[in-house]
Amino acid sequence: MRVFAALLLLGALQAQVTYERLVGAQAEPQNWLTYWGDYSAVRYRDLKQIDTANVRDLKLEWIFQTGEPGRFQTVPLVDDGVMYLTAAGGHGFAIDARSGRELWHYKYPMPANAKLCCGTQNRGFAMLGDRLFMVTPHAHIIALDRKNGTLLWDSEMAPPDTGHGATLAPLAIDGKVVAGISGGEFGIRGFVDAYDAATGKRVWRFWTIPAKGEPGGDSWAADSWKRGGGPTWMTGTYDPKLKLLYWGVGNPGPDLWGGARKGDNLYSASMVAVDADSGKLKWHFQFTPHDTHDWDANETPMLLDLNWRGRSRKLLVQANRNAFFYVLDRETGEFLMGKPFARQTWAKQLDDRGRPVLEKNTEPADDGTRLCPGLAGAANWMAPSYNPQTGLFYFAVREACDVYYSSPPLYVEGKPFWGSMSRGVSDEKEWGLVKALDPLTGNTKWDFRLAKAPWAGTLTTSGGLVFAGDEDGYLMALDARSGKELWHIYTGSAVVTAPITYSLDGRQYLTIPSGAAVITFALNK
Amino acid sequence: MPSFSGMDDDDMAYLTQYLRSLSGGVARQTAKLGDRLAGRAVYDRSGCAGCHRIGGSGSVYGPDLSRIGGARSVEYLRESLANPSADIPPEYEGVTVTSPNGRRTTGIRVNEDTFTIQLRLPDQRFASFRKDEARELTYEKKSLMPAYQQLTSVELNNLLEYLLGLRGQAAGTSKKAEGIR
Repeated sequence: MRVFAALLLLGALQAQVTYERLVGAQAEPQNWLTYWGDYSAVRYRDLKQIDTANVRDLKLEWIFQTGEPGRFQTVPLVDDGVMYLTAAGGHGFAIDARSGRELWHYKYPMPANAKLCCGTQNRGFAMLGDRLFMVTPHAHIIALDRKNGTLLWDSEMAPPDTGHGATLAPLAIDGKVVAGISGGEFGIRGFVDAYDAATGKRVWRFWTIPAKGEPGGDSWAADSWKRGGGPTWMTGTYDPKLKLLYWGVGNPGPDLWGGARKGDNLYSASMVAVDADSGKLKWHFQFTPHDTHDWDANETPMLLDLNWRGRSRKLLVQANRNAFFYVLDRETGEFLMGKPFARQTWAKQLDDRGRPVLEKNTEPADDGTRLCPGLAGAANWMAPSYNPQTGLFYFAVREACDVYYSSPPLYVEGKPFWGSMSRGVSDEKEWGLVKALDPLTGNTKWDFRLAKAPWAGTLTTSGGLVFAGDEDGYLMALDARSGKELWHIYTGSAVVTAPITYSLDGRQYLTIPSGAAVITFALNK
Repeated sequence: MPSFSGMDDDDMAYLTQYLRSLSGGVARQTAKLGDRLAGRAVYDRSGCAGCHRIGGSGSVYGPDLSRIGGARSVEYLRESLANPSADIPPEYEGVTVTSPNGRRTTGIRVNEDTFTIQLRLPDQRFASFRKDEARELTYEKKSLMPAYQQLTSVELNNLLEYLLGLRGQAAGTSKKAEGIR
């Protein structure tokens, strides 16, 4: 009897996703415990049952249909044989990772008259202890019981009807849940929040746009900081040793009209390193000062420990929406390298401190200014990956240019605050790449061309593979060393999120959300 | 489509002006050009229905002309007949696929993705190809529609008069029903 009780206790303990397990997530390749797979966002898994020789034999294992409209942007989490995922509009599901059968379904009771700035999409759960955390389209953050989907607490991040929204997967750290805000096109003032995982009470808030009189506040003309944007709509990363959160900050507001916000507009289009305990800024690096092209810096801040020019350094790398690949020292924020990875016509170069030296006539104008990359950027929220076996950084590239227009907007709370518009150029079609890049040099190792500019992220494994998706709905496997296409399958809907892999009962699985379905593949038994 | 009745007058005027600039102009601001019935005869005689369709009659290979009079200006239509390559709508771009044995297949691109391409052939059938199995893909710079420069000015004006009068319903009520994109 005592043995039985001990086994029960052990089972209960194993079911807890402790902070220590999140820190060591790479040591659990059978699970997928955070949005990025771990705190560093490398999206690498040491699973090699599926490899370059047999990936062609992958077979469909199961499909789970949510029954909800919309295209999935979620990344599922997996722990102890259960998959947890969100769907647009405030849905959460737990499903059996072996069979795809639903275990529970939660639906947030969205107010019928909620005014949503940023759509209903959602990018996933965070997990800590026996809890799951997600945001809602109207900018709440909630906690669910992992066992049955019961709502445990519900906290408002920002008042409704003010242009705020939320779409990202939160980031769970030691006792806290960290989340950012959407609404950069609605004249909000952005922030990153930390909430007590037990109670939902807000612990701290870091404003991404400093007020007048605060450090950086003089980078905004007059009171333009009040509507300065700086959304934080993608999940950040975390260094548990430095206790620093790394969060990308989006565009200044209004997006395309900079006339009333002269100055660099800190900390828009920047990376900020924030102390996880206090919420205070440790350092910042601004990629695009005084941005007027909506080049958010919300792309993945991947954390790598590499030998940089002869000494081991803690690095932060990012393929930025502005078409440059950056390497920063993540202890200090020091700029180490920046190189273009896609067509760009806006900067002659970056100076020694990483500040762009602008080409002429790059500002949006009444009659339009043609510029590359386009408004959606050369990179965006699509997750990159890094494989320590190859030393390569794999990511999706969008090759598109736009014509940018500009005019002074009138601010009305809760209404769009763009400052005009952009449109695609008419003399060429957009296309895309899966690119393998050496993060130590910024040089391209290989490219795999896609017919259209993609919105899907990548995953890489010790099986020598890179998995990617495309806008036409293909999930594909490429040779991580050569970029050679080894397998693809048509999923029936555009792939707009990133695949994951996990292992159960000695079998490796590959999962991709596509359309409103979760599709899982494996090799035959 | 939602109502934009809340838009202020200036914005509405700008939007209207912009949308008009995209359409190639809207028809029927000119005097009568010719004889409509005679134009219909030119249409039939020239084999236009071999590629085009009006009210459910004809081919789905080229654009449906059932509402062409409400969508295009006389200048646009005149140029399209004399020089079809002047403006090729993206959904009617031509592609030639050369197979490993040298066989060439030309058609209108229905869909193209990273790995495959599907064409609509002049006989209205579909053809599908895997890109990695094709020897070559050629993206046609010219329209697959022939130029009708052999028409006399009277025939051309009669044909234009006929086309400008086409403002009816397309054959299907949805893109799916019509079998076109």
